[in-house]
Amino acid sequence: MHTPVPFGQYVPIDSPVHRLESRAKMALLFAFTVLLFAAQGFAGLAVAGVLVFFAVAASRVPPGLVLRGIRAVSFILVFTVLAHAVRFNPATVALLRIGPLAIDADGLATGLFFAMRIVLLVIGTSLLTLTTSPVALTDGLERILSPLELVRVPVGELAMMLTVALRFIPTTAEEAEKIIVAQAARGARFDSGGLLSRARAYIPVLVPLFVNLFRRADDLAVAMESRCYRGGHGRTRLNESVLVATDWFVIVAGCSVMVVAAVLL
Amino acid sequence: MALSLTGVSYTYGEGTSFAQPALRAVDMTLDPGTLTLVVGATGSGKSTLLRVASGLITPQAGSVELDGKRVEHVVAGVGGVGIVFQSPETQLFAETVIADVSFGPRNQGLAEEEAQHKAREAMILAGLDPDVFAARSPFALSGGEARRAALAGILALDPAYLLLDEPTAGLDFHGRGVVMNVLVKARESAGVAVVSHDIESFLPVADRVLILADGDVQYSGQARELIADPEPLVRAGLGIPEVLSVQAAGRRAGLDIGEFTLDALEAARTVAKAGGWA
Repeated sequence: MHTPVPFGQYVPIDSPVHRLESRAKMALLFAFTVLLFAAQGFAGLAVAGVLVFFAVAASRVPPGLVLRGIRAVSFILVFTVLAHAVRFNPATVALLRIGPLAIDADGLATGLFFAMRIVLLVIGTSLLTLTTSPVALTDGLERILSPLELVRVPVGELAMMLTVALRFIPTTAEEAEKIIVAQAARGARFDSGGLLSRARAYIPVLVPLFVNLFRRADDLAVAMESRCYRGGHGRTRLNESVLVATDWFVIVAGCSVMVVAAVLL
Repeated sequence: MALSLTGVSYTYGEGTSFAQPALRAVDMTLDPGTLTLVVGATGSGKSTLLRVASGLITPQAGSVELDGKRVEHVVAGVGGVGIVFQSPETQLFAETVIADVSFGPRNQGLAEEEAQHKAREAMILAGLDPDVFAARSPFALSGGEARRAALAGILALDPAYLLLDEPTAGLDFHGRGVVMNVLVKARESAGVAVVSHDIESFLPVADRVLILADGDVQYSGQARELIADPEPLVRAGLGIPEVLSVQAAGRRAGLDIGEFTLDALEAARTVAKAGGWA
């Protein structure tokens, strides 16, 4: 009777981008970010755009899903463009004047430049989470951050916390659904009244949800300890993910292109 | 006056690759003053049956009627259908037991005083002394007490029909006894349906029994007929109460055992007499 809960953003299909090791994808994303922020003009962004276009095409992820992230930042995009483009009573030639307000070409170009940068950044990061399973993601993160262990950052514990948190998203969603149904059966209404009364209607759901989650967290801690969990240091893994030649090739090729573009453009 | 399900079918995730039929053309009638025991293996559709009967989910085929009126959503008002889910004690939320139990009546639009009165009555019915428990935190109760507080929360709605999913699961001997008493008392005015694996406890108090297997009704009949001939339980792979096994074994061994009984002492007498040992 389980309906699959959408889990993170990951689209479980097979593609060259999916097959890339998570660390390779993170390295590429890092270089991509550097390129976006180092680029001084539209030429740099154009290179980034072309690269990300091919990456999306190769990932076989429906473009609609990739672009969904942009909708979330649409307000920021509009604000960015307007904040740069609209001037108050400029002395220079304006494209459009409405009373004392005016839109001028230089400002518009700057605004579009920054907005483009945000759009490309969102697409790039979405592509990482869309093509990498949450487990592979935390795994890769742990491996990348492992040098920090030298300065006593508990990298293993952080990665374990992330993994556990991800693992409990569907469980929590299911539990919340169960409690909502039970309270609805006692006449609770979640869809009427103003914002405040609606928020208040959720108290009977949130209290038991949190109580049960704390209880579950406690049980999980005991269960892990009783199976000798002593923290992440020195733990080995069942499926050792390795960077193969293809990964290295893509890292080196991709990063060099982007760094060169970042320096030149 | 009855809660009746006619030809009810329900499929989870219909139209997707996850589609899983849970109920297939199931009929069930719940009369006030009776207790129906619903049994079946895990995944046979018992819990879905209760959800459909309560109006929480709408069947894709067939109909649910409450006293002649078609049910299309939850009827949580007085005279409606109360449903108690598995482990209802994990859904308690208020600061005090009385505040939690009176949540339903307050949602029904009763004034605070009246809601409190209803809640206290329900607590008494559920075997919780209001003078002792009303002001306690629901999170400081024992498992059995919390289960009864959750039951009281549904009883306070004054439902004409009461549906319970595994009401005795996870309780100790004493706790089970108390919950059984609550249900028997609730039956005096309401129609009660209990989903349970604990056939041993519920068969003696049940009026009717429904056996589900893979979403189909495999048996539907009077409890006393099932006691007289527990074969359908065996066929459904559910196992029969020990006391019936003993009598069945006696009959197979050629002893003249009349009508089967669930009363252990009476069964012992019958077997002893038939065997010429008493």
